[in-house]
Amino acid sequence: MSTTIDKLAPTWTRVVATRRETADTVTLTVEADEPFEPGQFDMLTALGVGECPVSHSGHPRIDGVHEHTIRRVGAVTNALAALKPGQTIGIRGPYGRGWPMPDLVDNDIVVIAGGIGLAPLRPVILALESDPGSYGRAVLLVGARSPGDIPFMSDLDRWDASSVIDSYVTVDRADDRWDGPVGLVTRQLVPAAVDPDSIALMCGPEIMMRFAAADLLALGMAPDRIYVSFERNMECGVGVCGHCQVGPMFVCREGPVAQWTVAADLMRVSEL
Amino acid sequence: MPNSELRDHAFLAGFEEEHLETLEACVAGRSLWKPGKSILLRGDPADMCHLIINGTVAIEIRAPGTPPQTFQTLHGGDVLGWSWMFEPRLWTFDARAVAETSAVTLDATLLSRAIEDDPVFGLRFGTRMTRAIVNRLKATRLQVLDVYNH
Repeated sequence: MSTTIDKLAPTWTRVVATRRETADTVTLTVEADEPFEPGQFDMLTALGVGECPVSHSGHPRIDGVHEHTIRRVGAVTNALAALKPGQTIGIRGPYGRGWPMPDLVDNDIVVIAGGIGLAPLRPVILALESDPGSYGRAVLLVGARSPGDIPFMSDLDRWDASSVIDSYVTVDRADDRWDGPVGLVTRQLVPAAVDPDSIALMCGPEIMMRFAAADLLALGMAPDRIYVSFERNMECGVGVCGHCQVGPMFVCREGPVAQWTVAADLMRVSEL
Repeated sequence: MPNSELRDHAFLAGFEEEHLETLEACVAGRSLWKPGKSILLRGDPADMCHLIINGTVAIEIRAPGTPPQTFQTLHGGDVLGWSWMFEPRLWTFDARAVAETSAVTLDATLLSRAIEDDPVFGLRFGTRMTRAIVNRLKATRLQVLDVYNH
């Protein structure tokens, strides 16, 4: 019988491949068999350095490997991002509540991602790509700091060329090579002709999600059709330590994905 | 004669019939710009207001010795140009078509006169313009915050 303590012990496995996404972001492909749902996360361990939560960014139905996309922001993520194929990594999970995949069937979907926030949404889009007939129109809005900070460029190029998802990428700061949109990601809602009856999935900086939710509500979208993914300091992953607690919610267990009906009030409290 | 492109424009969604007719009387024509074409130049008289139908317009700022910096792009459904509303009625920034772009162009002199002649029309139009300005300000504030870098 699996206990909470068992869930806190990592499995040691190997990195199979690495892929640089941007100057500070790397995707690790690791040997792993545990099934997961899009939006869930694992706790990854860099030997001798520490552990941190990282969302699944790969296809949820590919056996034998998991993908995790890591942005270098501190000691643990620096160590994880520096791993090479063949090196050992600790992994435990999956944890948390993911995106409402069954509810997406036969619905139009709008995916709004800010920067590395595209990582936990990528499994949703990959699932759509595998089974496009099961979903309605899908729209992807991606915002990034600059053209060089756009993650998953090869995916975006592929999605752009396909009819699976209409992609709109915008940056805050353009350079002289960029001829795409510049400005807030949600300013693409009108050009994208997003249907207010769609289901919206969002992940990115909380300020961005708050403004994006306001724009979606102004468009006429019902709050229970908007989902966001919280980023918090998950440590145990099983709702015991309380590090990730936001109000009454243990993000690691009851999130990270939450409906806007729940998230709206929690995001209004500045101390949370 | 009804101007369907003006009537279907997102900026005017829900506008009352009589006010649409007032706006139709202010239409200077339909504008079309090729990619790279300059639309507005900072310091020039602000005598037009463009309702973008489709395409992409870059709003740019220039500093001596540096290439122009795009800080925002506008697209179909957006309004381009509000400097005509305020003294000294000169464009504050440059605007350039990035993609082939079309717009319904309103004559700002006629528009200003219509606003003065019909305060209700003025209020309705001004409210929409203010909402567009506030949305642009909100977007700019978030850009300045550099939210993706945290």
